[in-house]
Order: sequence, then structure tokens, then C-alpha cells
Amino acid sequence: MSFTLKLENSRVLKGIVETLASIIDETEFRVTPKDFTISAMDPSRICLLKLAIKKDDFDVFKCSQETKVGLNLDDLDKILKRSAANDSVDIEFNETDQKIKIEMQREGTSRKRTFSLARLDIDIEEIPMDKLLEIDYPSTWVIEPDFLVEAIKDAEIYSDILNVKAIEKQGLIFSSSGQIGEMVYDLNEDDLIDSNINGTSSGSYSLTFLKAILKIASITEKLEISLKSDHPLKMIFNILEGGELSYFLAPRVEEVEFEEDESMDEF
Amino acid sequence: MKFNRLAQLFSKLEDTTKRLEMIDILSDFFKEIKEKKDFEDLDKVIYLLQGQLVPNIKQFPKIGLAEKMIIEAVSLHSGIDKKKVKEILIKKGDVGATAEFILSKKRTQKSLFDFESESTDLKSSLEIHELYSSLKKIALTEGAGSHDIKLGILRGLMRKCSPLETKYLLRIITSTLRVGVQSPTIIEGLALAFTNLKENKDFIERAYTLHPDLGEISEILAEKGLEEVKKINIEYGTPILSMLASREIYTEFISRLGAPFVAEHKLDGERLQIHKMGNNVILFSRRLLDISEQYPDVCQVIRENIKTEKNVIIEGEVVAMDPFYEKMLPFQVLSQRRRKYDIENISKEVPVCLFIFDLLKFGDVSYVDKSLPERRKKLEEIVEERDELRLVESVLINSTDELLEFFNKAREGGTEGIMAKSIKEDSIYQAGNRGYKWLKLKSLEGGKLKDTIDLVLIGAFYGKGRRTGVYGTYIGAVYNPENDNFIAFTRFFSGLTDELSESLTRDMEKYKVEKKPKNVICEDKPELWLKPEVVMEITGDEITISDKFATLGYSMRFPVFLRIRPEKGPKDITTINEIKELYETQ
Repeated sequence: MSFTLKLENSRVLKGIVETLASIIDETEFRVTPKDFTISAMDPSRICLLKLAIKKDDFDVFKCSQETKVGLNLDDLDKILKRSAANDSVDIEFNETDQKIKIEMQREGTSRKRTFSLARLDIDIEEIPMDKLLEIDYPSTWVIEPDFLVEAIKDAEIYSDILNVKAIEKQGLIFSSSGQIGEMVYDLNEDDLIDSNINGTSSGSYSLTFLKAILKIASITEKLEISLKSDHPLKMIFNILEGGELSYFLAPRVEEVEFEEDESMDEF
Repeated sequence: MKFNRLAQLFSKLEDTTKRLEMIDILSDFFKEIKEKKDFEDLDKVIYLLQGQLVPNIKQFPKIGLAEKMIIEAVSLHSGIDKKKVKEILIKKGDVGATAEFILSKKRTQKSLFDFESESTDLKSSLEIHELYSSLKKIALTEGAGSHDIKLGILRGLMRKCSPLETKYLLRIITSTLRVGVQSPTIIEGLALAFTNLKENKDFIERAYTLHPDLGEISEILAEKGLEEVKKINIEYGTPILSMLASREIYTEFISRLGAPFVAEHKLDGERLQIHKMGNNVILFSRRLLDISEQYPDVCQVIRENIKTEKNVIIEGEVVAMDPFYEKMLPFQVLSQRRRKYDIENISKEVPVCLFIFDLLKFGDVSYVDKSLPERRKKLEEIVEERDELRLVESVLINSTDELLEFFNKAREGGTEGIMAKSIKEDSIYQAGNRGYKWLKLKSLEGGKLKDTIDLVLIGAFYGKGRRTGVYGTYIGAVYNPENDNFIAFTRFFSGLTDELSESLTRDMEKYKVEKKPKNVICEDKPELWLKPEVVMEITGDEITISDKFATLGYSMRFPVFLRIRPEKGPKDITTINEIKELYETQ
């Protein structure tokens, strides 16, 4: 059981690992002869990320049988942050060492840095996704990731929740409100790269978890978002040529006003 | 065993204050375990009932989760803003109740599992042994990035808990689990469930005082029966509960103990239970922890000056001495020994002497059930006295006059007072018992400070538990006329009735200030600062040297509130010089 993966450019891997590290501490690299996948779900089971990159997107891809390696993402993130954008990154694992080796080489030079990282013996819970993948979304659209980044940063001024609404024949509304005021971000159907919006759907989502995807936004050009009222928000980022990162985020339900709660009076 | 069953038990126990009901609830619970032969986590159940994770004689690694992190976890789990969680926490006074309240309300954050089939709902799936391994993992995680890992484990645990379970989970994590059952109640429940006879509790109780691990005892009882429990005895390497003394007025000593009795010096040091097994010496503290490392010199002197090849368990008091081993120094000096580094140097700087006063085991023979004269006689045979190792002075007392004479001499010699002990045939060593075979006398008036102290309130803390919603603890300061300011002296809470706490909380509204006033000097960090206006009279056991209240350098042991002094202004209170005088004359 061993594998070798090489990317001429470290940027994509860096962005992905940083994103994953903000959600969970430890996860598993799964490499098969066909592709490379990582999944991560935060401990409270509120958001889920799944990344799959096909063999052809790598500059070098060697793997003869399925290999799973547990890793500490924080440590991997620290190592990858040491790479420059134009460094190539080579990741190797072989079973005898029980370590993964990360090699960085500056473009056009022979300067090479090698880092190793101990494999973790972890028990990764299988993440059930069947039901999530079966959800039939009435509204799906494709936008530039930067729009979402703007909306997240705008919303943060007012609260920790981003409201998303899609209206047929009109477009999208991101909004947020708090004690100091509110913000509304309108997008016409014309502003969207592609859209298929049926009826009206809306949902509220925690910014704490949405912020995790800001890094991914900077390495992708297109983002597909699906929305259904009272259901998880689904986002698909296209990465490299044939790679895909899917992201599910459970919705918030209406705020409960604790102050008005009678049972608090006894205290 | 599922943690949920334990949470249900805790909840039932918390609903009653009647001891007999508690015994019934416990014995029903144990009977169910007995029927199912589900003994695997029984020991842990017992520890948790005792409000601990492990028996007294062991230490669980420090979990070290700050309240802040728990708030963060509750916030992420429920989708309720951290600020709101904090507000509710202030009203509820305890993270466990706060989480239960929030989680049993409609959640504002759904989980992705809500969209999966019901079989994936993990609520109430937590096993007790799983809880333990997660807690250990949290405790042992340190260094950079540990915050996220700890938070992750905690959130993983919370996911497997119902709101009720979460309440107890968080109390366990913050070491605030108090179910309100005492060990004797648990013991009666065990006796009833496993032997069908409440009276058998005496055997279990005895086993517990000689082997303070009720979890292990309950497993022996459940799996092997009462006869095996009866065989439990004092063993090398396991500390037994100390015998305690009662307070009594000196005029009553003769009638309590009968004449003659013996009196010994009560030394102002640290009580040690010493297990000598060949060259291996272990020192146990009063709280049953192994503190051998603090006293390598004591271990050495034991190895060299106990004149027997046999193993022994003895008891004594270690006291700080002057460099010539002539004068005993107060406990404050000895407490410099309480450190983990540089022990070699400090043991030279602070020489100590071990004063031995009891023998609990000699070879294979338990001395616990022998009379005091028998124990003392054997002790005199085996102890070779020298500067660092002595027998506690012990004299025969026949009358109250002799008692007074011995007491006054003892106090002049720098001791805390005297211990008086029965020497009758039944003067056995009653482990863990505060009976009337041993009496202590610290002061002829009753152990309190010679004078009361007037303080001004400068800060307060929110109360926990019964005092939720009011200020439970206050910080009091004394006056420094030279600089016209107030210097923090002690925290106190004892002596305040519930009624008084409530009315004080209301009164304090007038004195609340945002920041520490300029004329107040205080190292402590109260949750609320107060303008120094309200004067209170307190008493206490004694003035002590304090590192915590470093500016003043003194504080008070066991401060007790006496009354509010509305007639006194803040400048009429006790001054720093008076505190110094009190310390020097006590």
C-alpha cells in the first residue's frame, strides 16, 4: 500500500487543506487507482465536505491499490503553508515508513525541501451521504465564488447568520440583520452564470461554518449552489479539471427568543 | 453501560433530599445491574456518584477545559450565540443546567443527521467507558492546536448525549458534579441490593475506611459476595482513611475519655501516613495522595531509622524546624515544600522533623484494632529517635489541672495545641471516623481568633449551586491610613444566610462599579467590583501568610461572616498594622 501524488502548483492543495483543517482536526486521505478523496464533517455534524480529484488532474499519480492514511490536518496545513505558490508539491506514502513525505520544489530550480508527517492511527467514522445526495433541490444556480465571499463578509457586520433566498424569475437575495441594522445583497438572474430557480426557496445558515469555504473560493472560478427551504445548503466547487468539492451545511431554524421564555422567570 | 442510565439515576437522586428515598433509588438501580450481571462499569458508576472520576486514592489527569471552551461548544452545538449562552449561564449559574436548558428548547441549528434516517440518531448512545476514554484524551491533549482537538472531542461527546446527559457530562468535565449522595448512602444502597440486608453496610463501610476505593469494593461485592468484602484489610501501598479528632471544651475531657488518658502535642505541620515496604517508602497525605516526592529526606530517615526488617505502616506529622532542630516552625514555613521542582535545595533550606504518633500495621499484623497503648509500645520499640525523627511527646493525664498545665506548656513550645486520646481497652484506631476517642484542644476559648476584623467589601462573585442568582462570595479589604487606600485581605462566603445573600445582592446594586476603584488594591479578580462602602465584621481561625493577597501579605483561614456594621464607615475598619499585630500575637 503506497502512493505518490504530484501537483505542479501547491495553491490548490493548500487551499483545500486549510479549509478542511478549519472544520476538523484529523481525517483520512483515501487514494485509489482512479482518484484521491478526502471527507470531513465537523464534530457536531453541521457541515460536511467531500473532495474528489481524479487521477488525470495530478501531474504524477501512482497508486496500485486503495490506501487510507489518517492525518492531522493542522500539522499538514502548517507544512503546506511553507510552500510558495509556484512550488510543486509531491506527496508520497509507503507502508513501511508509516509516514507521509511532502516534497516542495521551487519552479525552475533544483531546490528541494522535504517534510515528513507521521501517519495517525484513527478510526474514521463512515460519513453517510446517501440521503443528502438524494435531496431534490428546486433551485440551483452557478455564480462566481467572489459574490458569496462578499455576501459572507457583508453579513458578518450584523450577525452570525446569512439568509439566502432564491425567487423564480427574479434572482437571489443574500441578507443579514442585527441590532445595529441590516444588509441586503441583490443578484439578478443576469448576474448569475447559470440558473434554474423554481418557486421561492429560502434558508438561514451559520456564518461560522460558511467562513470555512472562503479559502476554497479563491482557488475556483465557478460555484454551484443548491437551495431548498428547511434543507441543507449544497455547494459544489469545481477544482482543477475534473475535481469536485461538495459542501453541505445544515440550516438554522428560526431564532428562539430566550428572554421571553417563561421558564426563565424562576431563575 | 450506557451513560444515559446513569444520567437518569442522577436525575432521580437530585429530585429528592430524603436519605431513605435515595437509598431505595440506589438499591433499585444496583438490583437491576445485579439481575443483568452488568458489572463492567459498576466501579465508574460509584466514582461518579461520589462526584469523582476515580477513587480518592488515585488522580485523574486534569481535564483542563475552560468554561469559555464549553460555552463555545454549547454555542456551536445549539446554534445559540455565545453571548446568549453566557447570559443564560449567569442566570443558571452552572454550565450543565445551561446546556440542558438550551438543548431541550427548540434548537436553532439543525444537524445534517436530521436529514438522514432515524437510525443514525446518536442521542443517548454514549457508553460510560467511552466517556472515560474521551475525557482522558482531552486531559492528555496539550500544546499548540490542543484547543481545537479538545473542542472537537467535547462536541463529539455532546452529539451522543441527550440534553439531560449533556447536563451531567458538562458537570463531570467542570468537576462540579454533585449528586448529593454521600458515601454512607451509596454503601447502604449496595448492602440492600447485593446482600438484601441493610445492616451489612457496616462490613462495607469498614472495608471502605481501610481501602478507600468504593468502586473496587462494589465490584468485589457484586461478583464475589460479602464474605470477600469482609476479608478486605489494611494493605501496604493503599492508604487508609485517617482517624479524626473531635473538638471539645477542655472541662469535658475527663468525662469523655476517662482518667487517665494520654495527651500529645498537636503539631502545626502536615499529617503523613507512611508505608514502608523494605526500602520502598511511600508518604500519603491527609487527602490520600502520594506526596513522597515532596519529602525525599523524610523517606530517607524512615529507611534508616526504623529498627525492623518487617514492613510497617506508621502515622506522623512532619513539621518545619529551625536549622538546629530545636524549634518547631509554623505550617507556613513548611508549605514552601509544596512544589514540584528544586526539592533538593528547599529541603536543605527548610529542614523538617517527622513526629510519629501511631502504628497501623507491623509485618503481616494489622494494628488497627489494637488499643493505643499496644500500638504506642510497639512504636517505641521500632523507632530510633534522632533530630529528624521523633516520637510525639505523650504524657499521662489524670486531672483537668494536669491537662491545662500540659496545654499551656505545649502552646509555649510553639505547637497548635494538644490531642487527648483514650487509652482504654477499646481505644482502637477508627479509620475515617471522627469520634470521641480522640479530642483536640487548640484554644481554651474555642479555637477562634482573639479579636474580630472589620472589612470593607470591594468585590463579589456570582454564586453557584444554592446561591445561584445572588453574589455568593465577597472580597473584603482592610484600610491603609498611610496611603488612604484599601488593600484586599480575604475572600469569604461562610456565615451568610440565603436571606442575607439575597438582600446583600440587592444592596450591592448601589455600589457596583465598572472598573476597580483607584483607592483599591487587589490581586484577586472578582466578577464584579464594588465601591468600598459596606463594612462587615468577620472572624476566622487565624491570620495566615498569603501569596495570593500579595500586597498585604496576609489573609485569613476559614473566614466567617458575623454581621454588617452599618454604623461604621470604610475608614473605621481594621488597618493593615492591626492585621500584622494580630498575626504576631496569635
